[in-house]
Amino acid sequence: MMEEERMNKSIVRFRGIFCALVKTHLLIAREHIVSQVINLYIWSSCTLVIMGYIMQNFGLATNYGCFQFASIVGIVGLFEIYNAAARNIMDIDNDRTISYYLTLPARPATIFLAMVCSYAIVGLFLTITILPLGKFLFYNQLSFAKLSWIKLIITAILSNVFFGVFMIAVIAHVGTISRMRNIWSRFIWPLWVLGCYQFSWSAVYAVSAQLAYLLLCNPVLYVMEGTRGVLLGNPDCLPWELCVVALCFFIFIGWWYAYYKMKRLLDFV
Amino acid sequence: MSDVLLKIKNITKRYGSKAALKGVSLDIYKGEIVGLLGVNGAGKTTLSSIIATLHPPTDGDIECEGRSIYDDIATYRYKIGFCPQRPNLDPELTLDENLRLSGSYYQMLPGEIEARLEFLVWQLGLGDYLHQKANVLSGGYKQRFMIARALMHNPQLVILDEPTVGLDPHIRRQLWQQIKDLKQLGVTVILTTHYLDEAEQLSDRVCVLDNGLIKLIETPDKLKADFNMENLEDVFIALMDHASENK
Repeated sequence: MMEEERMNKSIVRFRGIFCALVKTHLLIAREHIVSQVINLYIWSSCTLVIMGYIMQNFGLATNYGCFQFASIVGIVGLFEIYNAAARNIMDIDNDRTISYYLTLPARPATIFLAMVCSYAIVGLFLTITILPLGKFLFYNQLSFAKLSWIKLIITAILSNVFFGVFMIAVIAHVGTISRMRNIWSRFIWPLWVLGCYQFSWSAVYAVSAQLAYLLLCNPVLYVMEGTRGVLLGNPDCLPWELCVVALCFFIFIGWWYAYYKMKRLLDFV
Repeated sequence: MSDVLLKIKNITKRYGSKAALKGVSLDIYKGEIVGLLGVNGAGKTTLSSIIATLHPPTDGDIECEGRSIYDDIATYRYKIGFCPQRPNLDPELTLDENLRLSGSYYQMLPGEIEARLEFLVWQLGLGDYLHQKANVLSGGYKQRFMIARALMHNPQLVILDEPTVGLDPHIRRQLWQQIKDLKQLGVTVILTTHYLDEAEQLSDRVCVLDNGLIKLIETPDKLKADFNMENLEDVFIALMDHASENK
Protein backbone atom coordinates (compact mmCIF):
# COMPACT_ATOMS: atom_id res chain seq x y z
CA MET A 1 0.00 0.00 0.00
CA MET A 2 2.84 2.36 0.97
CA GLU A 3 4.68 1.46 -2.22
CA GLU A 4 1.56 2.09 -4.32
CA GLU A 5 1.02 5.45 -2.63
CA ARG A 6 4.63 6.42 -3.28
CA MET A 7 4.30 5.36 -6.91
CA ASN A 8 1.13 7.43 -7.38
CA LYS A 9 2.81 10.41 -5.74
CA SER A 10 5.80 10.20 -8.05
CA ILE A 11 3.56 9.87 -11.14
CA VAL A 12 1.63 13.00 -10.10
CA ARG A 13 4.92 14.83 -9.48
CA PHE A 14 6.34 13.69 -12.82
CA ARG A 15 3.25 14.83 -14.69
CA GLY A 16 3.16 18.21 -12.94
CA ILE A 17 6.84 19.03 -13.42
CA PHE A 18 6.91 17.64 -16.95
CA CYS A 19 3.94 19.77 -18.03
CA ALA A 20 5.38 22.89 -16.35
CA LEU A 21 8.73 22.35 -18.06
CA VAL A 22 7.12 21.84 -21.47
CA LYS A 23 5.14 25.03 -20.87
CA THR A 24 8.38 26.87 -20.04
CA HIS A 25 10.08 25.68 -23.22
CA LEU A 26 7.04 26.56 -25.32
CA LEU A 27 6.89 30.05 -23.79
CA ILE A 28 10.52 30.51 -24.78
CA ALA A 29 9.85 29.06 -28.26
CA ARG A 30 6.95 31.52 -28.66
CA GLU A 31 9.52 34.32 -28.85
CA HIS A 32 11.12 32.84 -31.97
CA ILE A 33 8.31 31.01 -33.73
CA VAL A 34 7.30 33.77 -36.17
CA SER A 35 10.86 34.26 -37.32
CA GLN A 36 11.29 30.48 -37.62
CA VAL A 37 8.23 30.25 -39.88
CA ILE A 38 9.45 33.16 -42.03
CA ASN A 39 12.92 31.56 -42.36
CA LEU A 40 11.35 28.22 -43.22
CA TYR A 41 9.17 29.75 -45.93
CA ILE A 42 12.12 31.66 -47.42
CA TRP A 43 14.54 28.76 -47.76
CA SER A 44 11.96 26.15 -48.69
CA SER A 45 10.21 28.27 -51.32
CA CYS A 46 13.59 29.17 -52.91
CA THR A 47 14.54 25.48 -53.00
CA LEU A 48 11.17 24.36 -54.32
CA VAL A 49 10.96 26.96 -57.10
CA ILE A 50 14.42 25.99 -58.33
CA MET A 51 13.87 22.22 -58.01
CA GLY A 52 10.30 22.27 -59.25
CA TYR A 53 10.46 24.74 -62.14
CA ILE A 54 14.03 25.66 -63.13
CA MET A 55 16.07 22.48 -62.85
CA GLN A 56 13.71 20.75 -65.32
CA ASN A 57 15.58 22.64 -68.05
CA PHE A 58 18.67 20.68 -66.97
CA GLY A 59 16.91 17.34 -67.31
CA LEU A 60 15.43 16.90 -63.83
CA ALA A 61 12.13 14.97 -63.70
CA THR A 62 8.98 17.12 -63.85
CA ASN A 63 7.70 15.81 -60.52
CA TYR A 64 11.00 16.42 -58.71
CA GLY A 65 9.57 19.54 -57.07
CA CYS A 66 6.98 17.40 -55.27
CA PHE A 67 9.67 14.90 -54.31
CA GLN A 68 11.76 17.73 -52.85
CA PHE A 69 8.74 19.18 -51.05
CA ALA A 70 8.05 15.86 -49.31
CA SER A 71 11.71 15.73 -48.28
CA ILE A 72 11.48 19.25 -46.83
CA VAL A 73 8.36 18.31 -44.83
CA GLY A 74 10.40 15.56 -43.21
CA ILE A 75 13.64 17.46 -42.71
CA VAL A 76 12.31 20.70 -41.12
CA GLY A 77 13.06 19.46 -37.59
CA LEU A 78 16.66 18.61 -38.43
CA PHE A 79 17.47 22.14 -39.56
CA GLU A 80 16.26 23.60 -36.27
CA ILE A 81 18.76 21.51 -34.32
CA TYR A 82 21.67 23.88 -34.86
CA ASN A 83 19.89 26.86 -33.26
CA ALA A 84 18.41 24.86 -30.42
CA ALA A 85 21.66 23.05 -29.65
CA ALA A 86 23.67 26.28 -29.89
CA ARG A 87 21.33 28.03 -27.44
CA ASN A 88 21.63 25.18 -24.94
CA ILE A 89 25.39 24.89 -25.31
CA MET A 90 25.78 28.62 -24.69
CA ASP A 91 23.64 28.18 -21.58
CA ILE A 92 25.82 25.33 -20.33
CA ASP A 93 28.97 27.38 -20.97
CA ASN A 94 27.55 30.51 -19.32
CA ASP A 95 24.73 30.88 -16.78
CA ARG A 96 23.55 27.28 -16.71
CA THR A 97 19.80 27.69 -16.48
CA ILE A 98 19.79 23.92 -16.83
CA SER A 99 21.39 23.67 -13.36
CA TYR A 100 18.21 25.09 -11.90
CA TYR A 101 16.10 22.48 -13.68
CA LEU A 102 18.41 19.75 -12.44
CA THR A 103 17.70 20.69 -8.82
CA LEU A 104 13.92 20.44 -9.26
CA PRO A 105 12.11 17.58 -7.52
CA ALA A 106 12.21 15.33 -10.57
CA ARG A 107 14.52 12.82 -12.17
CA PRO A 108 16.97 14.36 -14.66
CA ALA A 109 15.35 12.24 -17.38
CA THR A 110 12.16 14.30 -16.87
CA ILE A 111 14.08 17.50 -17.63
CA PHE A 112 15.51 16.10 -20.87
CA LEU A 113 12.24 14.45 -21.83
CA ALA A 114 10.50 17.83 -21.52
CA MET A 115 13.17 19.36 -23.77
CA VAL A 116 12.61 16.62 -26.36
CA CYS A 117 8.84 16.93 -26.15
CA SER A 118 8.77 20.70 -26.56
CA TYR A 119 11.25 20.47 -29.43
CA ALA A 120 8.99 17.89 -31.09
CA ILE A 121 5.90 20.09 -30.62
CA VAL A 122 7.64 23.05 -32.28
CA GLY A 123 8.95 20.77 -35.05
CA LEU A 124 5.48 19.35 -35.61
CA PHE A 125 4.04 22.84 -35.80
CA LEU A 126 6.63 23.84 -38.43
CA THR A 127 5.95 20.63 -40.38
CA ILE A 128 2.24 21.43 -40.54
CA THR A 129 2.94 25.06 -41.40
CA ILE A 130 4.90 24.10 -44.51
CA LEU A 131 2.12 21.94 -46.04
CA PRO A 132 0.14 24.82 -47.65
CA LEU A 133 3.30 26.03 -49.40
CA GLY A 134 3.65 22.70 -51.21
CA LYS A 135 0.02 22.76 -52.29
CA PHE A 136 0.41 26.35 -53.46
CA LEU A 137 3.53 25.68 -55.54
CA PHE A 138 2.53 22.29 -56.95
CA TYR A 139 -1.24 22.56 -57.02
CA ASN A 140 -1.84 20.07 -59.83
CA GLN A 141 0.96 17.65 -59.02
CA LEU A 142 0.34 17.30 -55.30
CA SER A 143 -2.89 15.79 -54.06
CA PHE A 144 -3.84 15.47 -50.41
CA ALA A 145 -7.09 13.66 -51.29
CA LYS A 146 -5.77 10.14 -50.77
CA LEU A 147 -3.33 11.12 -48.06
CA SER A 148 -3.40 9.12 -44.82
CA TRP A 149 -3.27 11.95 -42.30
CA ILE A 150 -2.89 9.50 -39.42
CA LYS A 151 0.23 8.02 -40.99
CA LEU A 152 1.60 11.48 -41.76
CA ILE A 153 1.05 12.65 -38.18
CA ILE A 154 2.66 9.49 -36.75
CA THR A 155 5.66 9.92 -39.05
CA ALA A 156 5.96 13.61 -38.22
CA ILE A 157 5.71 12.96 -34.46
CA LEU A 158 8.31 10.19 -34.54
CA SER A 159 10.62 12.22 -36.80
CA ASN A 160 10.47 15.27 -34.56
CA VAL A 161 10.88 13.23 -31.38
CA PHE A 162 13.95 11.68 -32.99
CA PHE A 163 15.29 15.14 -33.88
CA GLY A 164 14.65 16.28 -30.28
CA VAL A 165 16.60 13.32 -28.92
CA PHE A 166 19.30 13.97 -31.49
CA MET A 167 19.49 17.60 -30.34
CA ILE A 168 20.13 16.47 -26.73
CA ALA A 169 22.79 14.06 -27.99
CA VAL A 170 24.45 16.85 -30.00
CA ILE A 171 24.43 19.20 -26.97
CA ALA A 172 25.95 16.53 -24.76
CA HIS A 173 28.50 15.48 -27.36
CA VAL A 174 29.65 18.99 -28.30
CA GLY A 175 29.45 20.42 -24.77
CA THR A 176 31.22 23.78 -25.20
CA ILE A 177 30.97 26.87 -27.38
CA SER A 178 34.46 26.36 -28.79
CA ARG A 179 33.32 23.11 -30.42
CA MET A 180 30.00 24.45 -31.72
CA ARG A 181 31.29 24.74 -35.29
CA ASN A 182 31.34 20.92 -35.36
CA ILE A 183 27.55 20.67 -35.07
CA TRP A 184 26.83 21.50 -38.69
CA SER A 185 29.71 19.78 -40.44
CA ARG A 186 29.98 16.65 -38.30
CA PHE A 187 26.37 15.96 -37.40
CA ILE A 188 23.71 17.72 -39.43
CA TRP A 189 25.37 17.75 -42.88
CA PRO A 190 26.26 14.01 -43.13
CA LEU A 191 22.86 12.95 -41.80
CA TRP A 192 21.13 15.29 -44.21
CA VAL A 193 22.96 14.62 -47.49
CA LEU A 194 23.34 10.89 -46.86
CA GLY A 195 19.78 10.66 -45.54
CA CYS A 196 18.22 10.40 -49.01
CA TYR A 197 17.00 13.99 -48.95
CA GLN A 198 17.68 14.57 -52.65
CA PHE A 199 17.23 11.01 -53.91
CA SER A 200 15.34 7.89 -52.95
CA TRP A 201 16.82 4.81 -51.34
CA SER A 202 15.79 2.72 -54.34
CA ALA A 203 17.80 5.08 -56.60
CA VAL A 204 20.89 4.45 -54.46
CA TYR A 205 20.17 0.72 -54.54
CA ALA A 206 20.09 0.81 -58.35
CA VAL A 207 23.57 2.36 -58.35
CA SER A 208 25.15 0.35 -55.52
CA ALA A 209 23.44 -2.18 -53.28
CA GLN A 210 26.32 -2.04 -50.78
CA LEU A 211 26.02 1.73 -50.40
CA ALA A 212 22.25 1.44 -50.08
CA TYR A 213 22.60 -1.07 -47.24
CA LEU A 214 25.17 1.17 -45.56
CA LEU A 215 22.74 4.09 -45.73
CA LEU A 216 20.23 2.06 -43.73
CA CYS A 217 22.32 3.03 -40.68
CA ASN A 218 21.29 6.67 -41.18
CA PRO A 219 18.12 7.46 -39.16
CA VAL A 220 17.24 10.43 -41.39
CA LEU A 221 16.76 7.95 -44.26
CA TYR A 222 13.68 6.56 -42.46
CA VAL A 223 12.33 10.08 -41.88
CA MET A 224 12.69 10.85 -45.58
CA GLU A 225 11.37 7.57 -46.91
CA GLY A 226 8.53 7.41 -44.40
CA THR A 227 7.39 10.99 -45.09
CA ARG A 228 7.69 10.68 -48.88
CA GLY A 229 5.93 7.31 -48.86
CA VAL A 230 2.94 8.81 -47.03
CA LEU A 231 2.83 12.19 -48.80
CA LEU A 232 3.46 11.03 -52.35
CA GLY A 233 2.17 7.47 -52.07
CA ASN A 234 5.38 6.35 -53.75
CA PRO A 235 5.62 2.52 -54.03
CA ASP A 236 9.42 2.75 -54.46
CA CYS A 237 9.86 4.00 -50.89
CA LEU A 238 10.83 1.74 -48.00
CA PRO A 239 7.73 0.26 -46.26
CA TRP A 240 6.16 2.78 -43.87
CA GLU A 241 6.00 0.20 -41.05
CA LEU A 242 9.75 -0.40 -41.37
CA CYS A 243 10.40 3.35 -41.14
CA VAL A 244 8.27 3.60 -37.97
CA VAL A 245 10.04 0.67 -36.29
CA ALA A 246 13.48 1.97 -37.33
CA LEU A 247 12.68 5.46 -36.00
CA CYS A 248 11.53 4.01 -32.66
CA PHE A 249 14.79 2.06 -32.50
CA PHE A 250 16.89 5.17 -33.22
CA ILE A 251 14.92 7.19 -30.66
CA PHE A 252 15.70 4.55 -28.04
CA ILE A 253 19.40 4.32 -28.94
CA GLY A 254 19.70 8.10 -29.25
CA TRP A 255 18.03 8.66 -25.86
CA TRP A 256 20.32 6.19 -24.14
CA TYR A 257 23.41 7.81 -25.68
CA ALA A 258 22.20 11.38 -25.02
CA TYR A 259 21.44 10.62 -21.36
CA TYR A 260 24.79 8.90 -20.80
CA LYS A 261 26.72 11.79 -22.38
CA MET A 262 24.67 14.41 -20.48
CA LYS A 263 25.41 12.64 -17.21
CA ARG A 264 29.11 12.85 -17.99
CA LEU A 265 28.90 16.49 -19.08
CA LEU A 266 26.76 17.86 -16.25
CA ASP A 267 27.57 15.37 -13.48
CA PHE A 268 24.00 15.39 -12.12
CA VAL A 269 22.57 13.22 -9.35
CA MET B 1 20.95 24.87 19.38
CA SER B 2 17.76 23.13 18.29
CA ASP B 3 17.28 20.02 16.12
CA VAL B 4 19.62 18.90 13.40
CA LEU B 5 18.13 19.52 9.96
CA LEU B 6 21.00 18.24 7.87
CA LYS B 7 23.76 15.81 8.74
CA ILE B 8 26.61 15.91 6.24
CA LYS B 9 28.61 12.73 6.67
CA ASN B 10 32.13 12.31 5.37
CA ILE B 11 31.49 13.85 1.94
CA THR B 12 34.23 13.37 -0.63
CA LYS B 13 34.22 14.77 -4.14
CA ARG B 14 36.83 13.92 -6.74
CA TYR B 15 37.28 15.34 -10.22
CA GLY B 16 39.59 12.81 -11.82
CA SER B 17 42.65 12.59 -9.58
CA LYS B 18 41.92 15.91 -7.83
CA ALA B 19 39.94 15.81 -4.59
CA ALA B 20 37.80 18.94 -4.13
CA LEU B 21 36.37 17.66 -0.81
CA LYS B 22 38.20 15.19 1.40
CA GLY B 23 35.71 13.83 3.91
CA VAL B 24 33.62 16.78 5.08
CA SER B 25 31.28 16.21 8.04
CA LEU B 26 29.00 18.90 9.38
CA ASP B 27 25.64 19.26 11.15
CA ILE B 28 23.25 22.05 10.14
CA TYR B 29 20.66 23.00 12.74
CA LYS B 30 17.14 24.18 12.03
CA GLY B 31 16.77 27.95 11.76
CA GLU B 32 20.45 28.87 11.79
CA ILE B 33 22.63 30.68 9.25
CA VAL B 34 25.86 28.80 8.57
CA GLY B 35 28.61 30.65 6.73
CA LEU B 36 30.90 28.52 4.56
CA LEU B 37 34.22 30.32 4.36
CA GLY B 38 37.44 29.60 2.54
CA VAL B 39 39.86 30.87 -0.06
CA ASN B 40 39.20 30.25 -3.76
CA GLY B 41 39.30 26.52 -4.47
CA ALA B 42 38.74 25.55 -0.83
CA GLY B 43 35.63 23.54 -1.81
CA LYS B 44 32.83 25.91 -0.74
CA THR B 45 30.93 25.85 -4.04
CA THR B 46 31.46 22.11 -4.44
CA LEU B 47 30.01 21.48 -0.99
CA SER B 48 27.05 23.80 -1.52
CA SER B 49 26.26 22.26 -4.91
CA ILE B 50 26.34 18.77 -3.37
CA ILE B 51 23.98 19.90 -0.59
CA ALA B 52 21.76 21.39 -3.31
CA THR B 53 21.87 17.99 -5.12
CA LEU B 54 23.23 19.56 -8.26
CA HIS B 55 26.16 17.16 -8.20
CA PRO B 56 26.53 13.79 -6.47
CA PRO B 57 29.31 13.19 -3.95
CA THR B 58 31.96 10.63 -4.83
CA ASP B 59 31.58 9.22 -1.35
CA GLY B 60 29.69 9.97 1.87
CA ASP B 61 26.08 10.75 2.62
CA ILE B 62 23.76 13.57 3.62
CA GLU B 63 20.87 12.93 5.98
CA CYS B 64 17.88 15.25 6.24
CA GLU B 65 15.83 14.75 9.39
CA GLY B 66 17.39 11.32 9.87
CA ARG B 67 17.00 9.94 6.32
CA SER B 68 19.53 9.81 3.51
CA ILE B 69 18.53 12.42 0.95
CA TYR B 70 19.51 10.01 -1.82
CA ASP B 71 16.77 7.55 -0.76
CA ASP B 72 14.08 10.02 -1.84
CA ILE B 73 15.76 12.94 -3.49
CA ALA B 74 12.54 14.51 -4.80
CA THR B 75 11.13 14.91 -1.28
CA TYR B 76 14.39 16.49 -0.13
CA ARG B 77 14.36 18.88 -3.07
CA TYR B 78 10.95 20.18 -1.98
CA LYS B 79 12.64 21.27 1.26
CA ILE B 80 15.51 23.22 -0.30
CA GLY B 81 16.01 26.32 -2.41
CA PHE B 82 19.29 26.97 -4.19
CA CYS B 83 20.83 30.22 -5.45
CA PRO B 84 23.94 29.41 -7.47
CA GLN B 85 26.86 31.83 -7.78
CA ARG B 86 25.82 33.00 -11.26
CA PRO B 87 22.21 34.13 -11.64
CA ASN B 88 20.51 31.63 -13.95
CA LEU B 89 17.00 32.97 -14.40
CA ASP B 90 15.46 32.13 -17.77
CA PRO B 91 16.53 35.20 -19.79
CA GLU B 92 13.78 34.85 -22.38
CA LEU B 93 10.97 34.90 -19.85
CA THR B 94 9.74 37.80 -17.75
CA LEU B 95 10.57 37.69 -14.07
CA ASP B 96 6.90 37.21 -13.30
CA GLU B 97 6.88 34.14 -15.56
CA ASN B 98 10.12 32.89 -14.00
CA LEU B 99 8.61 33.02 -10.52
CA ARG B 100 5.20 31.63 -11.46
CA LEU B 101 6.73 28.71 -13.36
CA SER B 102 8.99 28.04 -10.41
CA GLY B 103 5.85 27.62 -8.30
CA SER B 104 4.39 25.21 -10.89
CA TYR B 105 7.53 23.05 -10.80
CA TYR B 106 6.80 22.49 -7.11
CA GLN B 107 3.12 21.63 -7.75
CA MET B 108 1.82 24.79 -6.07
CA LEU B 109 -1.80 25.64 -6.82
CA PRO B 110 -2.53 28.88 -8.75
CA GLY B 111 -3.89 30.56 -5.60
CA GLU B 112 -0.80 29.56 -3.61
CA ILE B 113 1.48 30.86 -6.36
CA GLU B 114 -0.37 34.16 -6.44
CA ALA B 115 -0.18 34.63 -2.66
CA ARG B 116 3.47 33.61 -2.42
CA LEU B 117 4.43 35.84 -5.35
CA GLU B 118 2.68 38.79 -3.74
CA PHE B 119 4.47 38.16 -0.43
CA LEU B 120 7.93 37.79 -2.02
CA VAL B 121 7.49 40.84 -4.23
CA TRP B 122 6.67 42.84 -1.11
CA GLN B 123 9.36 41.22 1.06
CA LEU B 124 12.17 41.65 -1.47
CA GLY B 125 10.97 44.87 -3.13
CA LEU B 126 10.66 43.44 -6.63
CA GLY B 127 7.52 45.19 -7.87
CA ASP B 128 9.16 47.57 -10.36
CA TYR B 129 10.82 44.86 -12.40
CA LEU B 130 8.31 42.03 -12.29
CA HIS B 131 7.28 42.32 -15.93
CA GLN B 132 10.78 42.88 -17.31
CA LYS B 133 13.09 40.20 -18.61
CA ALA B 134 16.05 39.07 -16.52
CA ASN B 135 18.70 40.47 -18.85
CA VAL B 136 17.68 44.09 -18.17
CA LEU B 137 18.27 43.78 -14.42
CA SER B 138 21.25 45.02 -12.44
CA GLY B 139 23.29 42.48 -10.48
CA GLY B 140 21.56 43.33 -7.20
CA TYR B 141 18.07 42.84 -8.59
CA LYS B 142 19.09 39.62 -10.33
CA GLN B 143 20.21 38.27 -6.96
CA ARG B 144 16.97 39.35 -5.30
CA PHE B 145 14.96 37.57 -7.98
CA MET B 146 17.18 34.52 -7.56
CA ILE B 147 16.43 34.53 -3.84
CA ALA B 148 12.72 35.00 -4.58
CA ARG B 149 12.77 32.02 -6.97
CA ALA B 150 14.58 29.90 -4.39
CA LEU B 151 11.96 30.86 -1.77
CA MET B 152 8.93 30.47 -4.03
CA HIS B 153 8.00 26.99 -2.77
CA ASN B 154 8.61 27.96 0.86
CA PRO B 155 11.67 25.76 1.52
CA GLN B 156 13.07 24.93 4.95
CA LEU B 157 16.66 25.36 3.79
CA VAL B 158 18.15 27.91 1.40
CA ILE B 159 21.63 27.55 -0.03
CA LEU B 160 23.11 30.86 -1.14
CA ASP B 161 26.37 30.55 -3.05
CA GLU B 162 28.26 33.87 -2.99
CA PRO B 163 25.08 35.95 -3.26
CA THR B 164 26.79 39.34 -3.01
CA VAL B 165 29.79 38.90 -5.32
CA GLY B 166 30.36 41.97 -7.48
CA LEU B 167 27.58 44.04 -5.88
CA ASP B 168 27.85 47.64 -4.69
CA PRO B 169 28.31 48.02 -0.90
CA HIS B 170 24.84 49.49 -0.32
CA ILE B 171 23.18 46.73 -2.36
CA ARG B 172 25.17 44.17 -0.36
CA ARG B 173 23.82 45.71 2.85
CA GLN B 174 20.26 45.48 1.54
CA LEU B 175 20.75 41.83 0.67
CA TRP B 176 22.22 41.18 4.11
CA GLN B 177 19.03 42.50 5.64
CA GLN B 178 16.99 40.23 3.39
CA ILE B 179 19.09 37.22 4.40
CA LYS B 180 18.58 38.14 8.06
CA ASP B 181 14.85 38.34 7.37
CA LEU B 182 14.94 34.74 6.12
CA LYS B 183 16.13 33.68 9.55
CA GLN B 184 13.22 35.57 11.10
CA LEU B 185 10.92 33.54 8.84
CA GLY B 186 12.42 30.35 10.26
CA VAL B 187 14.40 29.43 7.15
CA THR B 188 17.77 27.70 7.62
CA VAL B 189 20.46 29.30 5.46
CA ILE B 190 23.76 27.96 4.18
CA LEU B 191 25.73 30.97 3.00
CA THR B 192 28.86 30.51 0.93
CA THR B 193 31.00 33.62 0.91
CA HIS B 194 34.53 34.88 0.88
CA TYR B 195 33.52 38.23 2.35
CA LEU B 196 34.42 37.90 6.00
CA ASP B 197 32.45 40.95 7.12
CA GLU B 198 29.40 39.33 5.52
CA ALA B 199 29.97 36.07 7.34
CA GLU B 200 30.51 37.92 10.62
CA GLN B 201 27.35 39.96 10.21
CA LEU B 202 25.07 37.14 9.14
CA SER B 203 26.29 33.79 10.40
CA ASP B 204 25.34 32.07 13.62
CA ARG B 205 28.25 29.72 12.96
CA VAL B 206 31.05 29.82 10.44
CA CYS B 207 32.64 26.77 8.88
CA VAL B 208 36.10 27.39 7.50
CA LEU B 209 37.09 25.13 4.61
CA ASP B 210 40.67 24.77 3.47
CA ASN B 211 41.84 22.53 0.66
CA GLY B 212 38.71 20.35 0.82
CA LEU B 213 38.76 19.89 4.60
CA ILE B 214 36.89 21.61 7.43
CA LYS B 215 39.37 23.61 9.46
CA LEU B 216 36.92 24.61 12.17
CA ILE B 217 33.26 25.27 12.91
CA GLU B 218 32.46 27.91 15.50
CA THR B 219 30.40 31.00 16.24
CA PRO B 220 32.02 34.26 15.08
CA ASP B 221 32.09 35.63 18.66
CA LYS B 222 33.76 32.52 20.07
CA LEU B 223 36.37 32.60 17.29
CA LYS B 224 37.19 36.23 17.95
CA ALA B 225 37.50 35.53 21.66
CA ASP B 226 39.64 32.42 21.17
CA PHE B 227 42.01 34.17 18.80
CA ASN B 228 41.84 37.39 20.80
CA MET B 229 41.10 39.42 17.67
CA GLU B 230 38.64 42.15 16.87
CA ASN B 231 37.13 40.85 13.69
CA LEU B 232 36.64 37.66 11.72
CA GLU B 233 38.93 38.80 8.92
CA ASP B 234 41.94 38.86 11.29
CA VAL B 235 40.95 35.42 12.63
CA PHE B 236 40.67 34.04 9.10
CA ILE B 237 44.07 35.44 8.07
CA ALA B 238 45.65 34.00 11.20
CA LEU B 239 44.08 30.64 10.45
CA MET B 240 45.24 30.62 6.84
CA ASP B 241 48.78 31.69 7.87
CA HIS B 242 48.82 28.86 10.36
CA ALA B 243 47.62 26.42 7.67
CA SER B 244 50.31 27.49 5.19
CA GLU B 245 53.02 27.22 7.89
CA ASN B 246 51.91 23.64 8.57
CA LYS B 247 52.14 22.80 4.87
